Amino acid sequence: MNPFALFEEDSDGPDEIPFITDTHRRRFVALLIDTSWSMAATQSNGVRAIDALNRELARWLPSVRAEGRGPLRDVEFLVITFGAGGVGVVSGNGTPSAEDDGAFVPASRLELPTLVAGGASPMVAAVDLALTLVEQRRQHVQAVHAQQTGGPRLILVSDGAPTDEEGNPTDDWRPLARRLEQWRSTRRMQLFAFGVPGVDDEVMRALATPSGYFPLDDLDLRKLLDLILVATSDHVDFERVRSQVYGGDLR
Amino acid sequence: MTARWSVLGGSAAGGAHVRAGISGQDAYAVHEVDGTLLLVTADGAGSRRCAGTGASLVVTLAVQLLVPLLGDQPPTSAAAWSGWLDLVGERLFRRFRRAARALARAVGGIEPDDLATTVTVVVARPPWVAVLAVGDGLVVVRAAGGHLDLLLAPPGGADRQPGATTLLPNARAGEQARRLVARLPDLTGLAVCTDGLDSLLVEYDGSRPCQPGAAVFAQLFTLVDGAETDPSTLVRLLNGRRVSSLTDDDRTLLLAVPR
Repeated sequence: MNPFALFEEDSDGPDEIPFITDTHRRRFVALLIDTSWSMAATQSNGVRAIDALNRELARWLPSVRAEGRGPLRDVEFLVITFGAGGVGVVSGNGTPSAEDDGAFVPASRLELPTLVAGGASPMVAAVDLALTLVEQRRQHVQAVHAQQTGGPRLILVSDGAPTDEEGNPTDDWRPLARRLEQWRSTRRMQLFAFGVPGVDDEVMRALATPSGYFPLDDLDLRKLLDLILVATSDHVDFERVRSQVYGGDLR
Repeated sequence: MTARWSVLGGSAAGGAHVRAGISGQDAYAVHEVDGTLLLVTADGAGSRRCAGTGASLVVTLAVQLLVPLLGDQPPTSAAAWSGWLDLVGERLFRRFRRAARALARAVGGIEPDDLATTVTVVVARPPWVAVLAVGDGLVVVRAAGGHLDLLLAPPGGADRQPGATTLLPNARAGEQARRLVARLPDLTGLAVCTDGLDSLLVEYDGSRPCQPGAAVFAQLFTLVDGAETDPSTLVRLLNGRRVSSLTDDDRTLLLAVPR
């Protein structure tokens, strides 16, 4: 129980104080979702995983938008899928643009189209695109809006192993892991990787480090999306996410 | 001894800590000796294992160091205050580094950096206000007519990464500490807070903090301006739905007005 609930319930507090609600900071959260063929083939409670994901996203997005008017008001989302149609931006205007009104969209306005599953799993190309766009967005926000930008955060969700665009297994994730390590050390990037059953644990650990990788026991997409929201919070670390994943403390 | 200051102080754990069932990592202290007011806040680094302990430790050390000094004849010039701050800072930072090392050895399995923390020390002896700060604390002063100034502003700049602050016990933290002395004959209020509140209290021009929010501080100071203040008011405010919906960070706020 929240020990401060007593105070939260108190409606007599001086809550009319006109706090400043504009934000002078931006944080970039890139959400990378595996939409390869396995998301169409895998069943979750008798429903195709991709259909269950779309249903849960529809439930999840309003809570993200609500948080976007509060604690997540400095967050801009970039959402990239890798699977059907290759690597694609599905947030904002759906184009790989770091300009205003491009791929990045404030959490308060995050909407997503119905996701389609199929094809290969070009995870490496997806992460590459995310890194490129995040860096371009950082430069744009600093140069054009003169705002502070926090360390970027990547949230990777996969149920398979990386392939090239044609579905062939690839080792390209090895150099990507080294590049990600550089980003962690020089740009304060955090990568949270969630593996659902079928995922290649070795790859995910290499990309996210063992601390940042969270293998899930089942395809509980509601739980997964709740975890993504936790991983988006400003003051979160791997330990907190780990306690949420394995501590039985999920909503 | 008659107190010459009215002070309200409060602290609240951020949402992440509340949901995890752990306490916040801010700490603060208030002391008044012969009309000289000491306000101390500290914000433990969220990424460190014992940051809350570090914040409590540096506040305790600041009180131990400074309270015996407050009864002394205060400096009478800006240069003297500045020298006094240098001396206080050197002693405080040295004691904290020593204590952090000793604690890490005693506990085992932790490093002194696991106690990483900011600290903001404010000594007010009208007309003088002296500030010593490591990290991203915030100090606002109110003058006659309600005029507000950011005496200690959060670090700004578009290329600054939020949260990227050099902290105690890092040796460079002392070198980078900010020391400010102001002569404010018409001082009517002081506010000190940790960075969890800065975006709610300070107006920014791009990435540059430019001024305290006039409307928000006008109302905050009314909480402590009255003849009788309710000590729970500020705590309820900091734990309330409104503030919780706007910041997930630990937050501490001290408000003081001379009587």
